[in-house]
Amino acid sequence: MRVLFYYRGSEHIGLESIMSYVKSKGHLVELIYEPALGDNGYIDIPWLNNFFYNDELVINKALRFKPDLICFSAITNLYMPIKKLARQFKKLMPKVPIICGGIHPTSLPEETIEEDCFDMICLGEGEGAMEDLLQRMREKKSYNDIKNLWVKDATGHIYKNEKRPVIRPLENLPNPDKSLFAKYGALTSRIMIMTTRGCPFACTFCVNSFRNAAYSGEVYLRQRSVDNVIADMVEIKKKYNPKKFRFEDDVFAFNQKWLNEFKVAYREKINLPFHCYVTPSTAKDEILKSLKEAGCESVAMGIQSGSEKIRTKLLHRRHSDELVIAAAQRIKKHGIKLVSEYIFGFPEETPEEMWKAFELNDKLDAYNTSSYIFYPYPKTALAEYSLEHGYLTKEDYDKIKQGYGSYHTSCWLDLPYKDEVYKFNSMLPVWNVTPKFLKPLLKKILKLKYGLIHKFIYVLSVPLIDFEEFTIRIKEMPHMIMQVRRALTNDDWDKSYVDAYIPETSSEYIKTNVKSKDKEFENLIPENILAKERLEKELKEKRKKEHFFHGKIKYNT
Amino acid sequence: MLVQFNLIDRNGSKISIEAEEGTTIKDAIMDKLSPGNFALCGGSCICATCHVYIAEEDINKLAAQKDDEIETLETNDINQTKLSRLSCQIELKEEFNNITVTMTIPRTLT
Repeated sequence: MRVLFYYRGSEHIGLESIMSYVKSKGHLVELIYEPALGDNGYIDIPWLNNFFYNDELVINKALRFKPDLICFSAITNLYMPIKKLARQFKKLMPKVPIICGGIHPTSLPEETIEEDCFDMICLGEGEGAMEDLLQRMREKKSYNDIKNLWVKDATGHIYKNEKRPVIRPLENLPNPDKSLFAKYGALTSRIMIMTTRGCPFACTFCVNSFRNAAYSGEVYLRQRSVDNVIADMVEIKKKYNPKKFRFEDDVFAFNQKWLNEFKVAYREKINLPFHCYVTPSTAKDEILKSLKEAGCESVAMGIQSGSEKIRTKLLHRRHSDELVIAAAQRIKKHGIKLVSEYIFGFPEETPEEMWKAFELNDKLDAYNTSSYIFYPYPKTALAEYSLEHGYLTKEDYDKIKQGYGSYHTSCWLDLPYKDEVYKFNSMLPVWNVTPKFLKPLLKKILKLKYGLIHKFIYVLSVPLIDFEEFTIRIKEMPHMIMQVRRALTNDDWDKSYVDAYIPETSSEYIKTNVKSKDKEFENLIPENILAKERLEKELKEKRKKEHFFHGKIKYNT
Repeated sequence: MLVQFNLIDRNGSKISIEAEEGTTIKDAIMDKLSPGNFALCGGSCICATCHVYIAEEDINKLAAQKDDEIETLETNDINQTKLSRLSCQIELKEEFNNITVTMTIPRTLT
């Protein structure tokens, strides 16, 4: 079968894994990737993308590939452009089934499957479900009972199939295939890799707060064996010649036994500097010592809030200030650079509590500090709490479910100190690198009414969120832009591909019920629905204007 | 050799569990009940989601906690008492026959 995947943003290891698995089952896989330079969460100026590539290039590539199946992977913040493109694909290729997977449909299956552009959604891990789906499609048999999939049939009935057990061990999967992202120039010189799936913690603002609970009786967290990870990295090193590695695991170093084995093998066979994530409670002496011995250059540690009360009561992270400070000191003692991370705008958070993040951060001696705004991801414990306690309106929650805004620019909660959230968020990364003698000046700026100066500082803070990554991306951007254009116009898939499977005759082939949204269809929509749509559009425009960097930038607002 | 212990589950029901000597209490609970949000780290002593209370009359039968367990109990979001232990750190032994272990309920945001 000819399988077309689509992704936008940065390299995605989960998708690399599924593409690799699907390839290993004898299917022809192609990727359409958009770097989304104009609408990436930091800024929302989609027309900027048109300088580098355009929708026509994307759509034509899809049409030329002639897919049997189109697959989207969606996180909530990317859902809107994905839905828009899926509608265009459905209009142009109405007979090609479209599936959407990723954390967004996993969190919101009911809402996602209702979309007219999706024939199926995948909840949870996709490898097994994709294998079964493509096999049934090969055999021209019904696929409405495949576990992990919700499927819409010809009558509009939705088959909500049960979930399958998590994949165990992870070594059963082929290594993620980076080649398709590589041809778009999406791999930087600091290549991403993951050794785990899942997280041992259930912080209330994170998807793990509901995902772990959904897998009762199973341990969702799994880690690849050291041999498996190192073999993958040896190949990556040979093929892409990276300068550094970046472990994207939610918590990389938590198993001392694994780490003891890893540090020896990594030194011997890879020996490149790397970055990874730790938490204040896992940044123990022995773990940090092993990380350093392996070649760890920097760690990111989520502090999340400067207020111990917020951390304990709302985030379910019982990390005292002392624990955080001691962890930072241990990191420094072992010669590892610290990137501290914070989130502003939690329910009940006062400006005094926000200021505590600045005070606490001063004691950590962080190399870089990144800050974000609390984004109530659908179904997370803290999003539901915000809704129940009146911090989040149902209307706004519905907007979030559609993917509006981002954790860089949008404070969705109804807080009395909303301007403070924007101010503190924009200024902390800059505060961290400001010499001590200039800090009183910054403090004065912080006390000013939210305005132009803070927005300007926000622009300055963007590179500081992850300075190294920013530098790498800027340096490698011209190459990436060229590569994206080239990859969108080059049809370098295997032209001689013929599915080796010999189909049996069967009449069970499922028909999709997805309609293209054309003019004729729009004429059938009743006036009251159109009026509602118009109102929603007006509200959307209003919201865009209210949020910094959404739509036209008005510095004098 | 099988070791038997009593488990008070999250609903307050008392269950008798038998498991091979050397099995951790965490694994014995997983095998018998498959509870949700339990032992999320798989026994690496970091998440404290396998936190249990040991009956007062039985707590001294267990070996003292190691530093890792103490640290994990102190830095995770649980209601820690002097009877708190991580079930992933307790391997069943003959002398633990008939001890009583109470599961804890994960905290929710209210």
